[in-house]
Amino acid sequence: MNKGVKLTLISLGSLLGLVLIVVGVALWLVFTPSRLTAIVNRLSAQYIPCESRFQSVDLTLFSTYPDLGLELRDVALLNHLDGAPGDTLLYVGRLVVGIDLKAYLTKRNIIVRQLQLNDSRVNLFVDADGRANYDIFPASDDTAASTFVWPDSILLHSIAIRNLQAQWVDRLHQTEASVSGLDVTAEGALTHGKLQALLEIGCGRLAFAHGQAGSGMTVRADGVAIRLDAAGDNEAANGRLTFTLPQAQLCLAGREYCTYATASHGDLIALDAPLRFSFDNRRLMLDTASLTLDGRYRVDVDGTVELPQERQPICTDLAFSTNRWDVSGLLALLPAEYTAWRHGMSLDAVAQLDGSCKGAVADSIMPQVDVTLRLSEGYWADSRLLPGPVRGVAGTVTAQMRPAAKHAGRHTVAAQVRKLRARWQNSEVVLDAESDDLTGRVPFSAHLKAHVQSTDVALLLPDTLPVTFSGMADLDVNAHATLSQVQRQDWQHIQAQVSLALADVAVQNDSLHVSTPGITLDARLLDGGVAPALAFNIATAMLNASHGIIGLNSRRLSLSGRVCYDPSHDELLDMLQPALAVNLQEASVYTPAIQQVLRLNTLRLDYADGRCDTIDASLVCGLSDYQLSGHVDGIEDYLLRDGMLQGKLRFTSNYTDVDQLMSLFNGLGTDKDSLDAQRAEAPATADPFIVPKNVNIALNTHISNCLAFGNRLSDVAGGLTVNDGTVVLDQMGFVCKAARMQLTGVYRSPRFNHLFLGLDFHLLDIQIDELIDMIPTIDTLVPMLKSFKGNADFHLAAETYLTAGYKPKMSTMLGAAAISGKDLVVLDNETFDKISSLLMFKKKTENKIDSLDVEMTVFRNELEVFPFLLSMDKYQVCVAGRHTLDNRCNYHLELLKSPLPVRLAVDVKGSLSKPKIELGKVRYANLFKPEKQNKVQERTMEIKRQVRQSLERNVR
Amino acid sequence: MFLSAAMILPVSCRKDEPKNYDANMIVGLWQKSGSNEYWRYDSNGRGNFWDEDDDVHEGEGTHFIWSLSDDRLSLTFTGQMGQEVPRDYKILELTSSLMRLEDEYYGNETTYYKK
Repeated sequence: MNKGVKLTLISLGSLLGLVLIVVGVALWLVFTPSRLTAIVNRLSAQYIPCESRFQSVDLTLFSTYPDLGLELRDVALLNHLDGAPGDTLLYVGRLVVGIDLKAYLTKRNIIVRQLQLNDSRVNLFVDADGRANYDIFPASDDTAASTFVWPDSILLHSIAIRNLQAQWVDRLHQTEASVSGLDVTAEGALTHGKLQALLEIGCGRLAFAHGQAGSGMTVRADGVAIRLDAAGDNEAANGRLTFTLPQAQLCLAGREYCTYATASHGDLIALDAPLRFSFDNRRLMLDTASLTLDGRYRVDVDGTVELPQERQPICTDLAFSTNRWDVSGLLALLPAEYTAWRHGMSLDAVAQLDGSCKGAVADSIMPQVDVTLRLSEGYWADSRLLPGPVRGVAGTVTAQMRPAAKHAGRHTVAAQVRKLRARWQNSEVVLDAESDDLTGRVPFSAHLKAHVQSTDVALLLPDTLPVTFSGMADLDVNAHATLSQVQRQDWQHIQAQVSLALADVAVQNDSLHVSTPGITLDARLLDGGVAPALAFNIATAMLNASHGIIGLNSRRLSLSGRVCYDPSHDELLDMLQPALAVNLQEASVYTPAIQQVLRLNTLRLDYADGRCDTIDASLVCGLSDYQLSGHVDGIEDYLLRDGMLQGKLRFTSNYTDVDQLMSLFNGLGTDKDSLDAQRAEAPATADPFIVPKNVNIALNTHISNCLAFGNRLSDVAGGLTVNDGTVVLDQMGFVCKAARMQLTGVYRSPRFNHLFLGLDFHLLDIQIDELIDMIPTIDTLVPMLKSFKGNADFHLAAETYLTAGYKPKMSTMLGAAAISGKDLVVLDNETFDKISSLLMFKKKTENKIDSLDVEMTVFRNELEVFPFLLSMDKYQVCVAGRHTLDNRCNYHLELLKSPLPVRLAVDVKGSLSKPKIELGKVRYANLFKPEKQNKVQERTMEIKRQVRQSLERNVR
Repeated sequence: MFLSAAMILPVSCRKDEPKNYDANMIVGLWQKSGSNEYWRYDSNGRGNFWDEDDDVHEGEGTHFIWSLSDDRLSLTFTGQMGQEVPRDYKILELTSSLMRLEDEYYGNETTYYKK
């Protein structure tokens, strides 16, 4: 370097230094701290209405270089107000203000570039009357509103506040707030369209209280830290906002919502938000802003928010997602009052959320929000409700909120549940559901599938319930309804379908046992109708059931139909109004009442409205088989209101044991108490068949072979009617080896010991000896039949009442009979021998009677044979008489025609086994000569005709 | 002797004329002497009888149709199966409280007292 230049630089530097020293000395000499302090105190007294003290005011240059600084120490403003915690309104330990020296020297502009505030205290107080201690300046007369105008440039090098303690007490509004240890650092510049800013806030403790103790709100936050840095230009700025709240306490109305212990895994709240702000369209853009709670629960947000301007509301386009949240820990963050329901239970799961929020947000405007919740590893246990935990709870729940359409008036919320599953013991449940209007009618669709093990169900049953069962069940439920329909139990408008499949089922309860390899139940609610109704179908390929000694085994069984529920009725059948279709195949039933296994080959019937249409029924009981078809009416009336059960059935059988069949229906429909009372009056061994009451069933029967009262019959066909206590065999025709027969019988049981039996019996073309073999009773009634052999017609109409032991009440016996025969052979017997020897018949010769017409009546225990004519060869004999059922007789035999010139008559009296025979008076000489009959004889013949005609009237 | 016989025979052979009884006297309830057997004759020509010794009550008895011709009481017992059982009796005595009937076939007499 040139020596001259060097000398010049040294001279200039020395001159500058001398100037600075002179200025410094001048400043020190002129602007001494004491002098400045006194000036400031004097000025403050003028301009600051309250008491003020400035302990020290000094100028600084080096510590605030390049700015000129003004340092104030121990500054205090005091303003006494009754009730205030103290008189000190403001205390500043040290305040330094840096002023742009160059701008001041050149342009006389005071530009503050630095502000340091250390160790300050602020006490703001408002008393109950609203007077504030900070209200130290008089009100301005200028009432015109002023408008803040951004300066052309802001150049704020730094603002630093250290250790600020502030307190605000407002007695009027019962509010207190305080901050302690507040540190604020702010740096920034906006020059020539360029922005640079940094804000850091740290607070030792922040406290806020409002309202009365115990009912108001108190907030305490410790260690709050906020940092915002930004850089940009007139159009946009990029930056990052971080916020940390390590711990806090929130108490509302005496309830703690957050305590210092709440945050156990990190900062209570932590926010880290990279952002960008566009000034033109006032749009804030977030680039994965993270909000973390307790160091564990994080929400990441991306997107944009347009701040409101003019008439435009806030607009959002945000997407958010969370990390995997531990639900149990999350619930632990909640106040105890909100999680009291968890007491006694274990609950945990992992939840993850993601979603979006798009659209405008305003008072009446909601954005479009989509949220998806993914649940996994769910666990729930509560031994009070369920033995064993529920595990593996997982699924997805999505929800969408849509703003109101132009004319809709409200926003809508829809939600879907997808594959929400849970496992308990060995059972599993899966649920899918959705609703597209959660804020309105809440219509929903749900699909529930469950696989349940019987061992799991057994765990739910009380130990005292003596039921064991095994098997498994698969349940499938579909439902469509609205919430109000469910709440109102409006079953007519709820759509629901249930399918239940049971497999390997076995149920045991005391004497009840039911088992099946599989059974399905399908049911669905029926729409509309006056009362809720259910259609169902039950089907199984095999079913075994027993209760004590009653058992049922079935192969194919299906039961379908519908039931409804009408609570306006009291009786169950009226309430349910069932309609059923039964299809049963290859079943067997055992009951002591039958004493044999009843096999149902097929049973198909339809039941509805009290009527049962038996389509096809085929049964086998022992050696008997039955096929039934037809219909039965009035079932409900019969069961519920003692109405009449009516029906018309076709009954066919290859073989029927009538006694066994009757035992099935003995006493049906009869009042048990009344029957027991009557039974008590009869011998203990008596057990008569009591005809069912309130039953009117007509059976059109055709039985190929049957066993009835010890007799074997074939081709039995006709009508059997059971009509309210009366059994009528109508026009029963059958063939036995002896004859062609027609039988109409009536049996009634009006009283236990007063049973009616009536017969209208016709045998056409009978063999008499075989008839006696078939019906031995005939021999008792008409002993002389034993004497005849050959073909005849026989008519009998008789009735009697019986005791409970089926013994006839003789005073009620009433009957009439008629026999017609031709070419009958008289058999040898002791009595006939006596007669024949008396009348000199040929001995030991088989003779034929040309014709025989006998009418007889039975009245009480007495049988009367009206005079009948036996013609044989040259002889005509008239026989008439009476005998009693104890075999005492009084018969008159009169020879009307013979080779002898005289009329002979004999009377046979006494015991039938040993009668006394003596000659008698002739009475019937003209009986069979109408032109010569007297009145008595006419009457006799009239009676004979009357008896025969009354009998033959019934022959069909 | 012949004339005496001729005078006696017609007298001894003359039959008694049948008595003519009033049917209205039969109407009513009668009990058979020595038993709990009851007979009720209604004015419409119908009747009913029952024997309480046989555990038969009034409503359970046997119905009949009756008619009276002179001293001959004709009963036709009608069965529920359509059969008709006629019985004729001769009235031996009929008062307001007593009726004696004869079964001509056997010659048995039965007495009834009016209830």
